[in-house]
Amino acid sequence: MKKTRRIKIFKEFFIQLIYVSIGILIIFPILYALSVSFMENKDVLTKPINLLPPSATLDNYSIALTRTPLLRYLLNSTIVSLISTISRIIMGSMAAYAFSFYEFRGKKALFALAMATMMIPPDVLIIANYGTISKLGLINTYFGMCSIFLVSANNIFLLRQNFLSYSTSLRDAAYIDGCGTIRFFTKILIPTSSPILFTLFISSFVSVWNQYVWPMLVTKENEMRTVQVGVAMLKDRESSIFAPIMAAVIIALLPTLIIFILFQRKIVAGMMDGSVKA
Amino acid sequence: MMKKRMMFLLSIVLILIAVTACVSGTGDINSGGSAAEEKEEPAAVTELTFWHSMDGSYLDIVNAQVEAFNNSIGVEKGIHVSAVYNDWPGTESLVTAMANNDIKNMPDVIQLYNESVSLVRNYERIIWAEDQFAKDSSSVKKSDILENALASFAIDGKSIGVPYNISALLLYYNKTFMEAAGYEAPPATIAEMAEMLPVITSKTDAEYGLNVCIQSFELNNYIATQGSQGTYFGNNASGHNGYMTELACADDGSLMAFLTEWKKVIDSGAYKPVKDSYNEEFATGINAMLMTSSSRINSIGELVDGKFEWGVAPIPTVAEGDIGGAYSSGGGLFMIDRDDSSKADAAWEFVQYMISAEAQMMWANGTGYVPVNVGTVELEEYKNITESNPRVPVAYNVLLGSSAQEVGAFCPASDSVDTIIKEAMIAFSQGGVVEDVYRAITDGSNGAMDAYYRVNPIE
Amino acid sequence: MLNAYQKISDQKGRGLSGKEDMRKKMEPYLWMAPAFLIFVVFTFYPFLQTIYKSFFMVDQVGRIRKFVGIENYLYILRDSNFLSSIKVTLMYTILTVPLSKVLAMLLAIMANKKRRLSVVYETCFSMPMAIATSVAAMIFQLMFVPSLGLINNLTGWKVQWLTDARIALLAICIVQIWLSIGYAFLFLLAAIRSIPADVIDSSRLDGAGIWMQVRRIYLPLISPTMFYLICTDIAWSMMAMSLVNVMTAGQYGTMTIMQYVYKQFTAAGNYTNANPASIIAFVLAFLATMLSFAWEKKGVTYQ
Repeated sequence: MKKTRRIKIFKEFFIQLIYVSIGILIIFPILYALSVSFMENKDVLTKPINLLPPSATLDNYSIALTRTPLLRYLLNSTIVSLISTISRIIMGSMAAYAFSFYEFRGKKALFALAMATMMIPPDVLIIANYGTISKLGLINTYFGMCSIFLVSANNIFLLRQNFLSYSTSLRDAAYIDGCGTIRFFTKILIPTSSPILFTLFISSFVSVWNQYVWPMLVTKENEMRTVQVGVAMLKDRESSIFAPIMAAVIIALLPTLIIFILFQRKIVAGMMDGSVKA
Repeated sequence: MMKKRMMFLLSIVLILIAVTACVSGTGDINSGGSAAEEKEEPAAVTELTFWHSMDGSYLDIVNAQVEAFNNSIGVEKGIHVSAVYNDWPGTESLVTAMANNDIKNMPDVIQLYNESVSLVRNYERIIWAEDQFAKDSSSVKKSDILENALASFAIDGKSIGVPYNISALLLYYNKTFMEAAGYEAPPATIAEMAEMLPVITSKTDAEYGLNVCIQSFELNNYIATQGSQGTYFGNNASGHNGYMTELACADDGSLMAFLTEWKKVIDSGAYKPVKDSYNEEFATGINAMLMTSSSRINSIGELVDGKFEWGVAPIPTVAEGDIGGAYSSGGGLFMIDRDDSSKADAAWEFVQYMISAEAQMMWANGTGYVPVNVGTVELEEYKNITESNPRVPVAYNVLLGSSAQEVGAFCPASDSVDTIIKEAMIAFSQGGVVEDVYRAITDGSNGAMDAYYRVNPIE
Repeated sequence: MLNAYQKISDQKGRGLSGKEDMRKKMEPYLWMAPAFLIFVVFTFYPFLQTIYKSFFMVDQVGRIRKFVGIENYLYILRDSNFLSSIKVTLMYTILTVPLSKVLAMLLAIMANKKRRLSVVYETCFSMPMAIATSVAAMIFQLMFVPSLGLINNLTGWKVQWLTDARIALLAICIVQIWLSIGYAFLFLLAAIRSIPADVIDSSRLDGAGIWMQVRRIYLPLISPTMFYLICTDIAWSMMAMSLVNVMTAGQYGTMTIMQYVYKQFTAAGNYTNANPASIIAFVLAFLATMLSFAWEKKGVTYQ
C-alpha cells in the first residue's frame, strides 16, 4: 500500500513538473523580453547569445520613463480601457438579454446585423470614424478615444449563448413572483453570470489596452496618448535598439498582466461550479 | 456581494464619465510634459503645433531643440511650440485632416520626408518656404543652407519646404580587416570593391565583405551619383521640375550601368544582400563593409565600442569619371496655413530657428545627421566634436561636394516602388540576369506610378 | 415569455391596456438600443460610406472624383498582388485557426484536474491572451533576427525567418498561434471542467483509450465552446493585419488582404483600390463565417 501511494505522489509531482515546464516554455517570450529590458543595448544581439543580462542596468527603464511621459500614458490607457470595458459589458449584456429572453419581430435579422459587425474590417472604418468624431468635436478627448470601442459584437454573441442556457422555468417563476424585467436583469441574471462577465472584463480590457492606431489618430497632444503609442515612440528607425523598447514593453504589459493574474483564478473557479455553461 | 461590486463599478463609471466630460481635450487635467506651460497671457502668446516623426534618441534632440526655441526666441516674441509625435511617415493624421478640411486639427509646422511630398505639393494650404526666405525680416537666407539639401526640397527651383534632418548614404568599413587584407584605402569604384570582397573574407574572420540591401534609397543614390553632374532617377528632374511619371534612368542607360557593375559584387560571393541587423553585424565583425545612412554613425560607434578601427567614406561610384558623393536624404519642415497670419509668421520664426546653426549643431551631438546650415561648421562646439571624432564631418563634406542635380526623387507611390526594387534586387542576388532585373524594376516602377496617376490625375 | 405576462395580467384581473401593451412590445428594442446606436454610428454608417465610395475614383486625400461603377472591383481583381493576398489570407486562416484550437484543447485536457500547482501553470497557459499583438510582434522580431537573434543563435540554424518567402508566413503563423492559445485555453478549460466527472470515469472503466475519450466525449461536449472560438477566430483571421504589418510589412509573401488595403491607403495613397478591396474582404469573411455556421448543424451538439 505504502509503495503504490509513494508512486502516486511521485507521479503527481512529475506531472505537475512537466506542466509547469510547458507553462514556462509558453511564457518564455515574455521572460526573454523581461531579461532584455535589463540588458545594455550592446549585449542584446551578440554571439553567443545572452539569455540573462551580463551586466544588469536600469538605464532602459529610465530612458523609457523620461523620453516619453509613459506614466501619464499608463493613466490614459487605464481610463480608456476601463470606460470601454464597462460600457461593453453593460451594453453587451443588455443587447444579449434582448436576444435571449425575448421574442420579437426581426430578431434573427437584427442578430445577424450585430454579428456582421464582427466581419467588417475595423481598419477601413478608421478614416470615416475620424470624420465623425471630428464633427462631433470629440478629437483629443477621452470619450473620442473610447467611442469606437464601446460595444463588441463578440461579447454579445458570447453572452447570448450564455443566457440561453438559463432555463425558462427560472424566468417564468421570477415573473410570477412579480419581478420586473429590469430587476430580473440586475438582481438575478447579472450576478449569476459573474464568471463570464469577469472573462469578458479581462478580454475587453486587454483588447482595448492594446489598441494603437485609433488612439494615436484621434489625439493631437502628446499628453493624451496611450501607452502603446509610447512604446512606438521608443523605437529607433535608424538603428535597432531593442533594450529600451523591451523596457517599455514590460511597463506596458504590467497592468494587463496584473489584472489578468488577479482575475484569472476567479474566472476558472467560477466556471468550474457548473453554475454556468460557457 | 455582486451588487456591491456592481454599485462600486457603476460609481467608478459615473466618476470617469464626469471626468471625461470636464476634460474637453486640452489636457488640462495634468501638466505632464516637457515644456513649461505659461498660460497667463493667452492673448500675447502664439501657440504653434509641430508634428514630427522622430523616435528613439532623435526624439530627445527634437525636444531639446523645441525647448531651446521656446526659452529664447519664444519668450522674446511670445511664441510657444508644442511638439507632437506621429508614427512614421507621420501623414495619416494629416491626410484625415486634409480630407475633412479640419483646420483646427492641423499642425502649423510638419516634418515630412521625400516620400510624402507628392501628398502636399499641390495643397493650397502649404506656405512655400521660398516666399518666406524672400522676406526682408527673414534672418536665415537661402545661401545659409547647404545647396544640395535645399535642392532636395525644391520644385521648379522654388523651396516648398526646408531641409531639417539630413543624412547621406555612406560606406562604413572595418579598417582593421581592410589592412589585414592588404588594403590601405576604401574602394573608389564598385568594380574595385567587388575585387576586394573575396580577398577580405579569405584573409579575415569576416563572413561577408559587404552587407547592403539595395532598395529605393540606395538605388536612387547610385543613379544620382553617375555622370559628371549627377543623373536624375525619374523624368522631369525626378519630379522637381514637374511631375515624375516614369524612370528616366531606365532610358538613359544609368540603371543598366549600375546593374552591370553590381553584378560583379554579387558574383564575388562575399556579398550579403539582405538587411538583418546592419549595425550589430558590422559591429561584431560579421560583415567587413556596410552601406547605410550617416545617421547611424553614433549607434554603430557605441556598438563597436573600440573593438576595432573603422571609418566612413563616400560610396564607391559606378564609373571612374562619376561625380560621386550622395544626395541629401531625410526630412524637411513644411508650414501650413491655418487662416491665421500671426501663426504663419510665428511658424516661420520657428522654422528659421530649427535650421539655424545652433539648432543644427544639436544633431552632431548624438546623431550622424548633417547640419544643413553652413554656419554650423564655424561653431566652436562643432569644431571640438569633429576633432575628437573625425568621422562626423565626412557626410557633411560629401554633401558639400555634391551638385544640386543630385537629389532624391519626388516619386509618387514611393513605397510600392521601394518594394519592387527590393524584391528585384534580391532576386538578382539569387542568380538573376541583368536584363530581367532591369525589366522588373522599370516595368514595375512605371506600373506603380501609373496606378497612382490613374486615381490622382495631373490637372 | 408572453405567457408569464398573460398569467400576471390574468391574476391582477385586468387585461393589458393599449399603452402597456405597446411598452411591452418596445422593450426588447429598448434593451438593444444603446448597442445598436453605437453600431450604426461607428460601424454601419462608415461601412456604407465605404461601399458607396468603392464605386468612385477617390483621390489620395479621400475625396470623391468620378463615378466608375464596378470598374474598381474589376481592376483589383486583375491585380496579381490582390489575388495573391487572398491566397495568403486563406492559407493564414487554415494554418492558424485549427492548430491553435487543437493545442489549446490538449492543454485544457491536461490541466483539467485541479492540482497543487494548477494556478501556476493555468496562468502560464493563458498568459498569451494578455499580450498585445504589436508587443508580441516586437518580441518575436527580436527572437527571429537571423544572424544574432535568439532562435538561430541557440539552434545554430541559418533560417531567414522573416525575409525568406518560403518561411516568412509560417513564422507569422507561429506568432499568431502563440497569441491565440491563451484565449482558447481559458474557454476550453471552463468547458471541459463543466463535463461531469462520472461521464469521463465511466468511459475509462469501459476501457476507452485517451483518443477514444477525446473523440467520443470531450469533443462533442465542448463543441458549443469550440464552435464559438472557431467561428469568431475565422472571421478575425480573414481580416488579419496588425501582426503582418509590424513584422514584415506584407513583404516576402505575407501580404494578407487587409495588409494590402492598409498599404493601398497609407503607402500608395490609393483609396480607390482600398475601398473595394475591403468590401471584398468583408464578403470573404462573411462567407467563411456562414460556412462555419453550416458546420454548426453537423458538428455541434447542444445539450
